Amino acid sequence: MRNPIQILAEIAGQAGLTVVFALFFAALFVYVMTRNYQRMMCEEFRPDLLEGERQIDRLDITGLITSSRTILTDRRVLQSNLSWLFSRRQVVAIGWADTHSVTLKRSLAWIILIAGALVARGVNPAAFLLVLWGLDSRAYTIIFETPFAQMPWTRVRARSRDRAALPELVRFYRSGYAVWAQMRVDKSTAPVIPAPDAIATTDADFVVGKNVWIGVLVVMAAAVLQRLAEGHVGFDSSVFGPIYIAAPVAAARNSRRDGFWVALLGFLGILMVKFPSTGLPGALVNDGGVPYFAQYIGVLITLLLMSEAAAAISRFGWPTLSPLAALLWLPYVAMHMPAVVSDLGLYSRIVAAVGMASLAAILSAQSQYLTLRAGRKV
Amino acid sequence: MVQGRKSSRVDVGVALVTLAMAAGLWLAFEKQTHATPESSTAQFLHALDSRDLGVVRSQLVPAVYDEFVQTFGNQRFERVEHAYDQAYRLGDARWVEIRERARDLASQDYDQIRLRVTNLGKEAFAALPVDERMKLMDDQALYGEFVFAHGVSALSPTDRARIGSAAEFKLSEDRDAFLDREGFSALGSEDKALAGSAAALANGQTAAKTLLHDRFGIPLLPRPLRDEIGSITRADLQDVAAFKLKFGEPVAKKFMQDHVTASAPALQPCTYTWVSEQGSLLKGNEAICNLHYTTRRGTQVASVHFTKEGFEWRVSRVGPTIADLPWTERAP
Repeated sequence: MRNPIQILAEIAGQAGLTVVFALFFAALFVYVMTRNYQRMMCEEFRPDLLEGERQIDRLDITGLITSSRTILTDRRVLQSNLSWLFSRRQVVAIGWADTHSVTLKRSLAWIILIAGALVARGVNPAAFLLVLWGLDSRAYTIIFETPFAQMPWTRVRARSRDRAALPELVRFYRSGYAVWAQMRVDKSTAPVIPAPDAIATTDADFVVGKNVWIGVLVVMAAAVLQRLAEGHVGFDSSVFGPIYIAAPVAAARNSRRDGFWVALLGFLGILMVKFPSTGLPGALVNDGGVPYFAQYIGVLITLLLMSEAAAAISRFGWPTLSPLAALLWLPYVAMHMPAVVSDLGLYSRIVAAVGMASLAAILSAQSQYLTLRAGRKV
Repeated sequence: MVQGRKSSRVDVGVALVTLAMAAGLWLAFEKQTHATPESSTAQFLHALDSRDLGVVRSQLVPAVYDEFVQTFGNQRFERVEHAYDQAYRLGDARWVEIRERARDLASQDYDQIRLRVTNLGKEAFAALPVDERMKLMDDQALYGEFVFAHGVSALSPTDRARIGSAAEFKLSEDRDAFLDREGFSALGSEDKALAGSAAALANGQTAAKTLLHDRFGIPLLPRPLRDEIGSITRADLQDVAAFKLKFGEPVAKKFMQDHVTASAPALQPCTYTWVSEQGSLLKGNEAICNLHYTTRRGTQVASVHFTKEGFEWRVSRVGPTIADLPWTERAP
């Protein structure tokens, strides 16, 4: 039995000195950046106000690797930016007299879509997830802009990708707009204040949703693991097959919409792993010759029907029984490949799928319970 | 939140029960001896070493079993067929002798009928008035026609029926057919009893002719070839598959008792045809498992094809054949 040191030494020996050094410096970089960022986060940005200057509003945005505090006073717009990458700190200030516009922007994070398209160059799971993320993402930006001709063209930008931050951003934008209007519009006329309903404070755009993301990621992770462990992606695995069947049924228990998207996107994700032609998993060859479209359409329809059935059972007042919708897998197999119906393994997988869907409901309920409890404590 | 906890308890119950059922079904599935191609391969290899043809048969679809047994029956079939060919060749001389005898006798009959026709025709000519006789004698062709026609019409009904077409009889074009047809009835009683029927002496190939050759030839065969034929008739050779099966089974049984495969083969992971070639998400009902035998001559690969029949996977093809696997004689 070899000890961990021997195992590590063997792995390092196979990887080579260059790779070992590269990994070491990458780890050192991450450690230093993280340590610095943690210390930066403890610092509080409190700008010195001028005599007679009054603070009007403040907006704090904290992301995964960035943090900003934007302060509106009656004379200036001030902002402190912190970034994990390169331990960057930045403080910006512009006077209201120089600010020629205050803009609020909402869009998809289009940069992710472009990255997905670049990574794609074909069909592959990484591109699929990037594109899905891009479609689900949001980018909200408030820009306090100075004229371009007025070098160095300083701008203050408050950004967030969090949908929950939209009301806060809209509120801050209105404050900034009001002050800007007060400063820039002729003081002899009333300032232009936007009507209360002119700006939506809730985002009604398409959202993938947490449950759908979990369902899709679980299904795709299972598909990748199955390819590595068993060589092929398929629904006949004792371990992975029940996951593919249970995912849409579990999602549909609380939301018909979620069940539909997990069935559709999850199945597409499985196909991406089965036939990755380029990109990150391009090292994996296509699994099993040519695509069997007639079967794929049948499987997709069955998954959608299963999710609809689960949602209907749940809607009619029996959510505990909704996992039984997984039993619809049997008629599909019986129609498509009657010879394999005589297989105890098939029945084992279907019953396991029912069990997994129930298990998912338990985990979801526990997660909600813990979240609510944490919220009450705060 | 109380309602949420209640639902959670029921869900826990459902999850536990269904997962337990799934585990039970999976265990039952794993315990089946022919649930997967891998387990069926193990059973197949075990059967090959079991000395029991019946055990091997239980692993195979009927067509594969028949093919295996017929391999052994094929050798017997070829030997019996060769023996019969030899018997036919040996019996030919005596057959020709009888046939020639029949034809000689029939030829004499034919000539006698011709003589009777001529005589009867001349009698008819003699009965004519003188002037008509004079007219006919002036024209030889006319005279010949008159004699033949009146001779044929004066023949007895029996003789008339024997010659068939008068036009062919006139030019002797029907001589061979007459000899073939009348040869058997011209034979003596002893030869008739030996030949059996006219078909036995026919020009072309008939069953009776073959039987007669065999009757003459088999006693002339060397003892080993006679033993090879034994009680097997020509009719038994007509249904080749049934013959090979019937006579191959005892040989196959003996072979299984006396032989064992050379070495325990290395089993490669089985592949499912639907998955590996057609991109299917379901494994389907066809699989191929490769066995690597290590022999003195190197590595020999055998592909065992499986088809799902009911709850079990059965061997549907072996490439090369089961008989071509590396067998060695079992130690006594």
